[in-house]
Amino acid sequence: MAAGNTYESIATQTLVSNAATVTFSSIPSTYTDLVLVANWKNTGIGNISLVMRYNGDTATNYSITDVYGNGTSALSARANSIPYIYLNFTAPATTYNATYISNVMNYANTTTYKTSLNRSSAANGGTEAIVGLWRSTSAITSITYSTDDNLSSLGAGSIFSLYGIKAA
Amino acid sequence: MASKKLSSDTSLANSYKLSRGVASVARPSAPTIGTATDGGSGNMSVTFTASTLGPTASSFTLTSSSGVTGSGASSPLTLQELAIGTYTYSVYGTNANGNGPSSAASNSVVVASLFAPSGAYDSIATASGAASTITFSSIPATYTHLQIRLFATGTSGDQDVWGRFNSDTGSNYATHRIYGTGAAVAAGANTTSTKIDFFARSNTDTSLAVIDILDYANTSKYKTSRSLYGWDANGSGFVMFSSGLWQNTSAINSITIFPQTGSFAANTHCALYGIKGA
Repeated sequence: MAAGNTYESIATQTLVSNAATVTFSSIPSTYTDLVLVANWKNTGIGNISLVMRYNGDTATNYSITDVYGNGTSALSARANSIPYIYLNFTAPATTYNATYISNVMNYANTTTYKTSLNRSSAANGGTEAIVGLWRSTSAITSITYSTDDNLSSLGAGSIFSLYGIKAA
Repeated sequence: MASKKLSSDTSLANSYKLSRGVASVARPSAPTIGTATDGGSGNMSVTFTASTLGPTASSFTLTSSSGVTGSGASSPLTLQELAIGTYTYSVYGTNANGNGPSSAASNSVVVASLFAPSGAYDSIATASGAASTITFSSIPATYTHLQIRLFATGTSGDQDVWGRFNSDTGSNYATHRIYGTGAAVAAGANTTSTKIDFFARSNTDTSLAVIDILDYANTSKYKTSRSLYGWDANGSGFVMFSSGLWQNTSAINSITIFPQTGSFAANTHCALYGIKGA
């Protein structure tokens, strides 16, 4: 069996002022999977969602399926042909921080559509898992975070980190 | 304060000994600090210049204001921070007579992320391509936890993906899950089963699964797993959490993963990783 440390930090961005987008560009194709970790501080506009796009694609090439629980009920929902992947869909964030972990596997292949597994936790909103699809066979070279209100709602203090995982 | 005075006195004594030609019993002078940088996840690298005055140091020690230390024979020195924070660094040299005085403090460095300290997450083995069964054998017991990352397509439509540990085909497995289809949410269980059901359906669309097997090498308790799984096809989809149990106290040294029917298709990729504890 081959062995070796294969979980590497690629980049981290910490916002010092509010921003509309955060982008990781020029992502090397040398990893097997990507993991993104985000701690989003909402600027106070309630009921909005953190979203993610690949390679600057703003067309409706994305879709998601979620499962969600808020402590008293659970449900599942879907959104088809949308312009981004929701990272919290049923559980919109309000004024609290929310945390996200996204697994984007086999992101550099040019044969299959790209799928991601995403987990979000908003202290006031509940917990959620979302599977997201990007209907493109292109290798992912950039990832952009924004919010679905198209405003500068990525608050100062938000932290976004990108990691790469190599297989043996 | 006492330690600072002693350090100062020692430095003065060293200088005196140098001037008197007794450098053989003196310690190295303080290095000149360079730049501290975070190579990612608190993996620090600090440059310095050894003093050209006095005796030569045979090794150098890097000390963080966090208390973490590292050592080596030359610049740069490295260490792994263990907590998020803001730190400065200093270096001192050592020879046969002991430790010399420390350099001045470096620039401050903000360590913002420690999600995966270097060396904590290792790739153990992978399996790719069409296959009816994926087996990871001779798994070393040197890690704390295991993680399987599965990118799968199948040849027979929607189906479950099952697993066994150590080739055990007995009725020693159980699984519980909650899942969403995009229209409904449900929960279920399989108990007294002959395989653990990761519920990662290897349908004709790409399925992803992240499966964690915790404390896999201990020999005093049953083994548990957790998985996050999903696929989406723009009009249909499935996302699920599950937990698994293997009622056996043996250390896990092999894992077999197989579809309910048919085979994994050519695009399938499965990787086994080992996660180390502190």
